Amino acid sequence: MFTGAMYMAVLSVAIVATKVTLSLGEDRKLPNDYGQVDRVNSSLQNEIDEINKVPVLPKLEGSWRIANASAVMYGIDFKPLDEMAKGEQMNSYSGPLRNWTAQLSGDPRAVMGVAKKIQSEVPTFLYDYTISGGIMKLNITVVGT
Amino acid sequence: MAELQLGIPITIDGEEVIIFRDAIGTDSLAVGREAEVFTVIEQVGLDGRPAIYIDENELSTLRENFPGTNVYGLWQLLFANNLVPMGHEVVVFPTSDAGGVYLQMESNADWNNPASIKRSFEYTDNYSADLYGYDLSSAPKILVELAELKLPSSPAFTRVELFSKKQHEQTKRWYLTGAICLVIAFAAAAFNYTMHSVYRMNMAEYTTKKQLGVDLEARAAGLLKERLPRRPDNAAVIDRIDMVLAFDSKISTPTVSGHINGFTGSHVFLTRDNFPADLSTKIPGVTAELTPQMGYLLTVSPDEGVSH
Repeated sequence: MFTGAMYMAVLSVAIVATKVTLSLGEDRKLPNDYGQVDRVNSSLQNEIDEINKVPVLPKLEGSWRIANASAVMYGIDFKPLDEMAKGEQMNSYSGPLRNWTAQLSGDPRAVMGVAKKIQSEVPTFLYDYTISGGIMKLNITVVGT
Repeated sequence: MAELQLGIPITIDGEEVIIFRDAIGTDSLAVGREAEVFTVIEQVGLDGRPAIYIDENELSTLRENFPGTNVYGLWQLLFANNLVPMGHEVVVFPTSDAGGVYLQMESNADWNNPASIKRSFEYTDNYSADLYGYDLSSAPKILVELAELKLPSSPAFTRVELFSKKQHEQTKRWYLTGAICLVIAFAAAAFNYTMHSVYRMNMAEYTTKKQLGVDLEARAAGLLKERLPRRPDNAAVIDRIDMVLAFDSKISTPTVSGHINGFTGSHVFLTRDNFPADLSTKIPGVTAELTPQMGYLLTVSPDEGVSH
């Protein structure tokens, strides 16, 4: 006859083996994003392919010259903002491209027209503006390489 | 016909064995001498046949005289070979002309049922004191053909032998238990080893893919240093604001602290006081709110997709 001690021995070995297996299983847990890695990578690859199709931006200096010329042509003051003045602005460009910021000021409608024209000619981001006493001040950031 | 002789080695089923007197039923034990110690050689049968016993002292003597020869009980042998006829009150197995052993059934029971066996005993001169007036000579006799006999499954053992046999079996079972434990431990180890290998493989693959992801991100970032996927275009909002400006040359932006007009935020304008028209009805994408100064607080939608 198999005695209780024998059953106990088998049972304890089985329990210990199960416990050890379970605790080792905890260490074998795969990272949470294990199943998504492929998807993330392929979407990154697609993104890269898309970006690659976009042409390289023109040089910043050239674009800046065009923007400046447009402003001057319409009698709008084009004042470059240095780093310190830029730091005072609430919203400004924070992307990876080379960029210079200027403040356009003058008649509101003329400023709007110039901003639209500059944006249609060179890559330019528009930021904060104020209109007070018939004068509009608009911050623009021209980006390039 | 070869005679089945008791107490001496004979050959049955190709093996040299000793067939010896045994006793069936607990009643048989009651009549024994006090010094007699009985050992079970056959447990109660499945059909209800009582247990079969053998005298341990006699078994020991046989062991001394014939060491190594297996001993079987007579009734054990007869039952094992299905040679005991049922349906009679008494069945005899003659060992001499007028003597032998007999099997007695309970007198008022079903004689066809082996459970009704009362006991076995010996008789001499066709007489037994326990069978009043029963003519033993007319009882059915069991006849055996030595060559056709088969041995019962297990021979008789003394208690000491049984004990050591049991000990031996216990030891064997412990070995078996140990083996089972080892198998479990090895199985667990093998399982864990396999799972760990799979895990390491998966993790290596994961790390490689993760690194690829980092590289791809760096490449994307590198590309974005020279490219702009979407050129900024605020033409639609500019047009809308321009329409508002066209209506009021004295328009201003609110000077409330914390409020900022901008292309990344909202476009809110304050008309001059006593402004005559609600522009929200004239310009699409503009909402108006009357102020106590009879001016309007105009909000231009930043949505580039608003239809004009």
